[in-house]
Amino acid sequence: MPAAITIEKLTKSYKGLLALDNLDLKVPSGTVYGYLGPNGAGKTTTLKILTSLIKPTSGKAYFFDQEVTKEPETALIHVGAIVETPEFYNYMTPVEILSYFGKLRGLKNPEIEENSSRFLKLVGLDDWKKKRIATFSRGMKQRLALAQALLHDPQILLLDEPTIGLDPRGMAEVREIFRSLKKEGKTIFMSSHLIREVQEICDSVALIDKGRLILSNTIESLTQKSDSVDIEMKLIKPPPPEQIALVKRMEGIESVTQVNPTTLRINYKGNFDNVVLLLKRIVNQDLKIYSFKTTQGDLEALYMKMIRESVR
Amino acid sequence: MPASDKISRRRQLLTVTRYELLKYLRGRRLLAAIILAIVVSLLILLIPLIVGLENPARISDFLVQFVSFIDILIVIGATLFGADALVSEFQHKTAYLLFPNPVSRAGIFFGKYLASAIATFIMILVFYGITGIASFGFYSELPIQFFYSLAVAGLYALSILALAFLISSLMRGSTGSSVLTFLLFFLILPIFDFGLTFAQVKPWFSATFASGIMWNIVITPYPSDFVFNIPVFLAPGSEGLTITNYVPELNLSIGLLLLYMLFGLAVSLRLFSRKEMV
Ligand SMILES: Nc1ncnc2c1ncn2[C@@H]1O[C@H](COP(=O)(O)OP(=O)(O)OP(=O)(O)O)[C@@H](O)[C@H]1O
Ligand SMILES: [Mg+2]
Repeated sequence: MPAAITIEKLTKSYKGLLALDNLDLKVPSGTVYGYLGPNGAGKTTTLKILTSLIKPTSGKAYFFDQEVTKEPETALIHVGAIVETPEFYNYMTPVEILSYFGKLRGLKNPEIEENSSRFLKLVGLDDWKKKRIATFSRGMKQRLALAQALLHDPQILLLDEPTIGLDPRGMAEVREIFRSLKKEGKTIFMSSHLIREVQEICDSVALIDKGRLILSNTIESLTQKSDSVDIEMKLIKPPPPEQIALVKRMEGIESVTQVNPTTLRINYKGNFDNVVLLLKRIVNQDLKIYSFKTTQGDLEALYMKMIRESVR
Repeated sequence: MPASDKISRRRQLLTVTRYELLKYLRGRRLLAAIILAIVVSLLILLIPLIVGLENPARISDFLVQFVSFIDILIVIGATLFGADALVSEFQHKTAYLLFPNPVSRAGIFFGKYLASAIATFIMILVFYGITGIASFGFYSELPIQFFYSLAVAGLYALSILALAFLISSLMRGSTGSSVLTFLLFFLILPIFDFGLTFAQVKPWFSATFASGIMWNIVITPYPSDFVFNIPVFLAPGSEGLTITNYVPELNLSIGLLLLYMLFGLAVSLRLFSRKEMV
């Protein structure tokens, strides 16, 4: 089976500025794929090409085996998308917007009605479904954008910073939605600046900068590459200096920083098996620990490192 | 894996048309256009009655009183329904939602054009409806020329709308597009026509000049150019002026309007299809 999304040598130049530079990327079917990169890296530009909002200067893109850069009308049937921060027709209501786009996507009326009410409920706009969008807040518009992307039950979702503008509960709800979509076997390709979020819900990531691919891999293999572990430890009361010194002398410890009186950050060289031993030893020191968290494979740290290297 | 299910392109086009009309309704543009058509036709009907003027002896003169105002209504229709049809999707960022749908730009384009034509036709029909009723009320008849005029008005609307779409595909903002459309057909081209007429050149190639067929067609027989002399005592210091009252030729003007329509549609479709949502 072909990959859900195939990007081949995609290049886009805006009057001489290379927004995308020979980008190659494959997103396997059924994966949740995070698309990372600093501001201006070319994430939105990629999504715009994939949704036929702009044309590439050169290169191709496919959904399964259909070339969207050639026949967007057919290729986009299986795609739901949010690009940038979209705006809606002010005088219409969510129900009308969904029925408009449902018809354009070839859904039958009963299907449109059923799916509209299901997805408006899912994104929490049930009480607002017959209100004019002109009065909606940014977060409400973002929820509606998500509902329209899901409306026709597409195989592929292309999402440009999908949780932007949502309140914390909204973000959690949306993450939950993504998880259940993943269970249904959908492919999600999402750009984001929220690395924690990406680490939590994505299987793989691609990192781009200045229109070029810097790395792409599964999160698992990316984060296991590093052999040093960051550990954050919280104590009930500030530890005496001699105990900190003791910890510092333990085998494999690279550094110990007292972030605040009751929090220690430990950098440890070794794998998870060794961390278990380390914890035992520290507990034996009679330190009053109530929280011990490894940030092993912190994507954020990796991101920073890669971006720094790419700048050079 | 994905089924290559085809979506009916005709259904998509009509869907775009339907929701464009809904937007006109919700934004009260359609209502404004209809009210305007009613107000203009009632004014033409009532002002002569109020100031105590007799109706003209000939029904064609009565009808000309009315239909000589239809061109301005059509220009307003093109401004309301055509001028921002394309540009607003880009300016108001709604293209971010509309374009990622599995619909061709041509489908969106013609759906919008059809909607703007329907809305303008509604306006025209209201105006001709009142004119027709008034004519029937006073003269108990409605000559066939009335319907010819209606048909020609429809053609003029289609061609001005196509040109408004062209402006819409060239401009960056809705307001600029609307103002330019209105001024072009209400002021700039008519002044141009007038200037040429004054210089004794017949502006047969001008769309606004050609629109004269809408009321000339009511007159039987169809009029032709005529020269009138302004006597010396009305234009002192000269040897008298001759001014030619040019009348647009019927077939030529119909052909010309069709040509403008096709040109406007072809160029604006091309521009709209290639325009990037950046
Ligand atoms: N219409 C345009 N004209 C000229 N340059 C543009 C245009 N749109 C984008 N660019 C440039 O293309 C590059 C990529 O922009 P893009 O919007 O894809 O970045 P992004 O990765 O989505 O950034 P962000 O995280 O800020 O959303 C940037 O350098 C931007 O300045
Ligand atoms: Mg962006």
